[in-house]
Amino acid sequence: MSDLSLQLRDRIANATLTAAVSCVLITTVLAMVAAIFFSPGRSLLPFIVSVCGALLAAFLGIRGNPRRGTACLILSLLATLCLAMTVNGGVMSTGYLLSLPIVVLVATVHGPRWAWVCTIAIAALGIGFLYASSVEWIGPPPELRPLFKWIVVSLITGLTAIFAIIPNNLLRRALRDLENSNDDLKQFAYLAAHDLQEPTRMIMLYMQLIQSRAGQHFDEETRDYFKFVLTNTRRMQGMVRSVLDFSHIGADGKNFAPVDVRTVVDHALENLSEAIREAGATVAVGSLPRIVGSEPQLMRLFQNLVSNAVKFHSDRPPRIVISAERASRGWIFQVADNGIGIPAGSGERLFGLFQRMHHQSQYKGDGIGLAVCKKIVSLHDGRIWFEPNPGGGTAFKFFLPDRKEA
Amino acid sequence: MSAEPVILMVDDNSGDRKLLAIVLGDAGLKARLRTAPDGVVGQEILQAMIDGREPMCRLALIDLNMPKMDGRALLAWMRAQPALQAVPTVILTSSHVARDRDDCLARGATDYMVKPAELDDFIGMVKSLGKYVT
Repeated sequence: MSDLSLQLRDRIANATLTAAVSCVLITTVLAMVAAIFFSPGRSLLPFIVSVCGALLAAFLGIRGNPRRGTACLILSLLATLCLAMTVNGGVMSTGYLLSLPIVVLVATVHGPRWAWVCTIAIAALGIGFLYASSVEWIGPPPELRPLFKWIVVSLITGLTAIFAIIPNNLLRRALRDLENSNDDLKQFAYLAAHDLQEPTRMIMLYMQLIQSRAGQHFDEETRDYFKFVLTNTRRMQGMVRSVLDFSHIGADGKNFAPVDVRTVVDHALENLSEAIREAGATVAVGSLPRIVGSEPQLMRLFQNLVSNAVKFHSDRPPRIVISAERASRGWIFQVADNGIGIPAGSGERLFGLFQRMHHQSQYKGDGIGLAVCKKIVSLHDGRIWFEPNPGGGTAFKFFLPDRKEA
Repeated sequence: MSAEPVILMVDDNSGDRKLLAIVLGDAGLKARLRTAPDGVVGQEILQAMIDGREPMCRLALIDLNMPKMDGRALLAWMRAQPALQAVPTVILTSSHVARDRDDCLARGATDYMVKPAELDDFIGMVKSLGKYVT
């Protein structure tokens, strides 16, 4: 799946719990309002428990603790169940209970916006109809009221279900279109780069041929022009190669297997040994776990990060620390340096293709290293970011979630 | 009939065909270059060589991605011709893909070379082909 749709799914998933608990909260409060108005004299205790539970669930959900949030959600649902038995002959709360899972479903599948729409619609319809049913002059005859209320409840549930289905399809279709167009774009980038390769190679070779055949007749100015053309053609070749290279990552499918990260890091350091020696860098490696992933991709990830840490060094000799710490449901790896650091506000831009923070003459490179890192981490369903390293420099961190062997 | 050894180059890129002709001398290779822009024409020329209508080539350079008949198909056809078994066949392509390399060598290519992007490297490559011609 494409990076963009992965991001989109990720965002939807993140928004989900917050949205779900917020909706439960709102529904509960509105149910409470309705019950107080329509069933005076009933016990408020289940309501209070229900509201507290929902509040807590919302708070924990917003604070990003899904497990406890879910526990409170269950608690509030239980309280609501008690409520259903005591209020308004059970009908109102049964309706509420019926619509509740649908709200949660909408929140889970579509994210917050549709869940809010859905909740407000349920609440408005519910309160409106219940009010109508309780008022003598517009409501049905008293003997038909229970039936009327059931009709109201079914109507609300039905409408909510429609809400649940329509945007779901819309979103799925939008997501599919997005994936298709993103795939087309990637295919285009690959083909464009592939087809540019030959013409740029020809420009290079024939320019050099002209230079070798007629170079001695050139004046100083013409020699300069030639140098300019050759430098830029080489640069273009580098970019074309980078795009092809970038397109190839992960193109052979997910060959995930158990990987000893320490071995991977050792290989990466071995490949960089010359650069490390030249820069006089020291590299300290902490204890690293075994995880499931793609060995060549992970090696490239560490190699790129360490290479950057060696390259962007300050006046001090580079000191690089590679470590890992256990997080809930995964590992956070870190490559920290004491280098020149990254200006605040560089943000996500740093991970884009061909993004350079410095001039080519200052630090060599084609601006693809971190884009490759991000792609590899995304292929592992992880996340990469950077933080200023205490004491100067930068710490690049990435989270890789636990996964079962592929 | 010329006494010079013949090199056959099957490549749809006219720039490469021309450049090879130009730098043969720079690389110190005395050979006559025979070229074909695609696999079909290449096959016709090779057939003419088998039939004795033209002198047999000493070396065949084959590009991989070509219109009409690609390098893989031409290589497979060549390897099925008893008269061409002794002709060294070098795949000369812009494909860096390791799988292509393994595939071609497994199908009987003598060598697999990636087309250089620098003139010095190109001349160096042509020099290295000298061992097949002399």
